[in-house]
Amino acid sequence: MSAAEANQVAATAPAESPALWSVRVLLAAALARALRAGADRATIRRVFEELLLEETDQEGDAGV
Amino acid sequence: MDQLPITLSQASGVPFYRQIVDQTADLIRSGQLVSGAQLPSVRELAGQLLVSLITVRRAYSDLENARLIVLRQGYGTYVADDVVAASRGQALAEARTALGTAIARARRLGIDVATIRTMLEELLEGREVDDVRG
Repeated sequence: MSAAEANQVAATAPAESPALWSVRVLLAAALARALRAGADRATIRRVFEELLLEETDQEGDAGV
Repeated sequence: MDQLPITLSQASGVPFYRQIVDQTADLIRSGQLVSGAQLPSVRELAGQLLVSLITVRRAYSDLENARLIVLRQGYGTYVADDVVAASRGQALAEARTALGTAIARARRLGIDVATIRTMLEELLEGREVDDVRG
């Protein structure tokens, strides 16, 4: 996804819940930034899984 | 100094200073702005983009902190030396932070992990927004 495509995602009216849409826009911007920086998709997936694990660990620690 | 090919979008929801930082960094990474190239003054760029001086100052400050540009008092603003490694490292770190922010927000909103993962895959595969609505 290019920066222009990310902008397109952000500019398109949402057809899903506002919560889901806000996350999609944040994710799109983050992916565009990563791809522009030269990260390949495998690297992005790996970092994403690491961050997901950290987040769920924190939730576990907080008793969520 | 020629104008920078920067276009600001209000619809994106991204602050103007951030758009200036991102697009200038892109110009540097892509080689359109090379080491030693002079950038417009704060006043010139603010005039070109129709934004405040504060917005451009903040963008230039962020770019300087990222070691992509250098401000030479009395001379102007220039693309820094050895910017390729600096810009890539900075961009990857920012991308990681941005991804983390998106995940944290999703979890706070009660969105489950599988949905977040699916969303990421849809975006990575570049599927059209209309496709994922159905």
